Amino acid sequence: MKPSLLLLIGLLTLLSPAAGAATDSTQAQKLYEQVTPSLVAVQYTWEHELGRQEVIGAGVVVGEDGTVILPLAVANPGIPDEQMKDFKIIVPREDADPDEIDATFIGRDDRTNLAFVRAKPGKSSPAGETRKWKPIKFEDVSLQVGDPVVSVGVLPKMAGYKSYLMLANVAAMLRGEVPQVMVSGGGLGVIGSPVFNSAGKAVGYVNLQTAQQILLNDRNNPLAAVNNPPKFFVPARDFLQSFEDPPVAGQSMKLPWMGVVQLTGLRKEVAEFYGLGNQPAVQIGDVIKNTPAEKAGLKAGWIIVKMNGQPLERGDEPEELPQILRRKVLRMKVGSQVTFQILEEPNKPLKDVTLTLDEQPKRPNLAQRWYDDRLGLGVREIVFSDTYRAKLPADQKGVVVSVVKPSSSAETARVKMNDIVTQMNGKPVEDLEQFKTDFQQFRKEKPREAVILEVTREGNTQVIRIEPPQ
Amino acid sequence: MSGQMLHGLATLIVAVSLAGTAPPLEGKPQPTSQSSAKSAKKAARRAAKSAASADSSQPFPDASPERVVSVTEKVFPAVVRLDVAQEIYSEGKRNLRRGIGSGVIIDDDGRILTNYHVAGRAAEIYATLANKERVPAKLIGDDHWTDLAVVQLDMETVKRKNITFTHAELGESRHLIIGEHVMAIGTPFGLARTVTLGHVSNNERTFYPDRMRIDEQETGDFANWIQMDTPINPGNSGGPLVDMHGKVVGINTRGGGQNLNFAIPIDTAKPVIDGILRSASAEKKGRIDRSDLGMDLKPMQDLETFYGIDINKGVLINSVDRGSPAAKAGVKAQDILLELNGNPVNVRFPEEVAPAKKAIADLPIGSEVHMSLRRGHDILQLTAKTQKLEGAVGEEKEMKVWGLSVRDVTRRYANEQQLDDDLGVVVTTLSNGYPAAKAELRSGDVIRAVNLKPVTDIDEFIKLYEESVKRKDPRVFLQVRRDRGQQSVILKVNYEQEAAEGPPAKSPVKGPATRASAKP
Repeated sequence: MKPSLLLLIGLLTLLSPAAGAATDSTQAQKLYEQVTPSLVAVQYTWEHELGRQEVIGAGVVVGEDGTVILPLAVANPGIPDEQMKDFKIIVPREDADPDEIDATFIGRDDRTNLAFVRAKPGKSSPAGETRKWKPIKFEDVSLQVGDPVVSVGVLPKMAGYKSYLMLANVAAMLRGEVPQVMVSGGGLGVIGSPVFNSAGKAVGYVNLQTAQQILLNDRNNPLAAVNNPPKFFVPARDFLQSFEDPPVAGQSMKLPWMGVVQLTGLRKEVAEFYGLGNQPAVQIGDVIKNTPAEKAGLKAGWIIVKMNGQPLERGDEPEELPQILRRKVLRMKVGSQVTFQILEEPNKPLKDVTLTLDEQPKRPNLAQRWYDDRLGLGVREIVFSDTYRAKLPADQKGVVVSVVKPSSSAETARVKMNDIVTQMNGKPVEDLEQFKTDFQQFRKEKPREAVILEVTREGNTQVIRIEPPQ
Repeated sequence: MSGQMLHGLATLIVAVSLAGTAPPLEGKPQPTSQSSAKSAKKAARRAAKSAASADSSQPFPDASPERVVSVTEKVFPAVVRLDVAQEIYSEGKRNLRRGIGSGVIIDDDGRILTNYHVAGRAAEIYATLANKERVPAKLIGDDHWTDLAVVQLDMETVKRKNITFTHAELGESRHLIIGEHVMAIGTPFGLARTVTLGHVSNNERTFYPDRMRIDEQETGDFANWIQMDTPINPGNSGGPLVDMHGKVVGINTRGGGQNLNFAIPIDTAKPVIDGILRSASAEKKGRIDRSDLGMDLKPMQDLETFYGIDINKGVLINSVDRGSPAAKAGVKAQDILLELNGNPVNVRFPEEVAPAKKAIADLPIGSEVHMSLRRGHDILQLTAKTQKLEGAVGEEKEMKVWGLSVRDVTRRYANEQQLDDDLGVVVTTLSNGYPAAKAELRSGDVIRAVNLKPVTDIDEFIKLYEESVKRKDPRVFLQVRRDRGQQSVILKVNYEQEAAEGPPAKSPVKGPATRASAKP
């Protein structure tokens, strides 16, 4: 364990509030006061090819070094890392305007749907003294239906990020793809709020759910989370892994994969047909070439019945099974082994297949990008998800159209997002670097001439001529 | 101007909406005295007749009031209103969609030319003649690619009721001149026998690169359009566009609003009529078969310099379908097709795309085609064997007991959806509460096997369905392709329930009398 975490535990023991029902107004008041200094807002600028956007979400301090967690949706995985700039941790103050502290983006954790930022070391307040962060420590505490819970959220930017208290009771425990605790009563704080039990322990976190606002600077309906408070939170056990094995700044997290996709949870009738009775099982829809699954001999249509000797975890609906299984694998280490018990065909004997987890292929948000403002055309490296979607071989060369500026030359020429550019001016495109060099060279030599692209779109090619603005 | 706007079909006012939109018809002006009105009419007719005969030598006579009347009198008895019930599939069932359109009688045998989108896939047709007599009619054949259909008046009814009609004379649309007057006759919004007048605005309109569809079926690939400012509205579809000689030069098909309307040139329609009549029989609908090489063409405009081609030579191959004759012959995207069987193919402008596509479509099916192509600086001679052109929309059927409708997977559909092959059937619609919907089958799923027996095409699927229903399988195991994955689906079929929804079985009261009052 890291020293900072050890310290953190020590600190929290001192802070630990007296036991008792949180519904008691003095207890609630005490908790509110204790938690408020740990609640911040996280702000960054999304600087994309066509402009900028300010993004602000709720943050919770989780480390004495100024480590803050925020909901993954605030640092949307669709946004390229290099486009997220100028991170700030905003600490609200009663007596003055909020402090804005420079911060670094540490990374996202897809296993737990959290993102991490950390205050930059050094003078963090105008007076020059070292800021004392008050971290919250999440704990795996079992909850019962009926238990009172308290959450503290931050109000939107227009209300000065003031913290507010919400009282609720546990109404149901759901076993969805991400386990969620449903509450009744007053509901919970905005997405990104910590949730406490009556003993004042941080037992959960309000994370993404449907029909809920995630930004604190949404001008259209700033008080949405107050008027229609969230009713679900994620119990701490689901995301504690993020604190034991957090993302590291400057490194993308190494996540495992098997190479099986398009999984479906078997409905009861189908499971019966296969002779599986009332056992949770998942059917493999597709196996990707050159992946652990293919190497281990898994085939599309086969059914996974057990994982490492254990029956699959049940969801509330069969549709949730694949997601639960996927998340379980996601929490394992690259290089570790998984053994599946497999049923190939109805009523055949089960067999074991062992595979070694490989690292996930690169995602689009980490792909290198390049944008030509004159044509209004942005392209990026081709990654696995592009070739899979387009049904092309995984080693397909080319670049992928990532930006088509409205009313630009590229749009006029009918270039479309996700087109895969395979040729430029009659020459095959090898990679982004070559495309960029060739394009710049061509522009230098022939500044007014059109560029001819061959692209692949929905299984067909298109020859596209982009005329530069004259 | 948005391309979308121009593509609205002009037809088919659905019967329901008609009641609401039709303007009131009462309050017609009353002639002051019957006799004076009659004599005035006669005089006008004489004037019109002389106008028509005097100007017959002129290539595009004026739309003088006399001529407009004479043309109207000539064409009117050949124009019909069509009330059609078309077969469509929705909510897992075969349903009928009622609509109104127009048509023009083209011969003494009572054949009517109209649009595919008016009378194609028709299960029931009634034609109302100019003399207001209503006669049942039958679909002879149809062709969605040109949006045309040929319908047969029931001649027994015509004879029995002693009904008279005349047929219109077909002109030549290639002689149309931009600016000349043209008239439309039809049934806009159900208002039968409506005459409107306007000009030819353009005689080679193309919507390239937009692709048009009628209920998902491709249309308009092989011909350009006549554009006119002659007002047409929904219900005009299928009616004739006539020149000032009273000859049919087009079939009114699409209305864009704001005086932008479009007709199919009669020169495009003539071979389609012939083909439909030639291939139709008592058992089978007439149809047009065309050839396909599986390549998409693009105008050379502004690309000649890049490809180093003389202006106005060749056509750019934009795309080659996987596994198509062109692909097998070795044709690649960015090749330039110069000649087809020794005939030059030149597409510099979008207007030239449709004629080039037609040249390929008109080749005999299964014949060898010699293509001269340019690739970079080389000239290639390649030979391909044409195959029959298929649309993306395959034959559709309902499976009542399972509660779904399916379509055959065609080559083109497989290509569009990037399926591995054209095997199986694709789910189109589902009936709520029936086995397929309960098993959460989805529109777009491709059914590849029933009870482990492979489904090659729709005929095989129908066979497997009928066998399963006959056996009363309580569980039907389907193997399905969804996105890129395989899935297993079980349909739970309750035959008692399906039967219960039919006509109520005769059930003599057997139990004690109190049973009769028992709640269902």
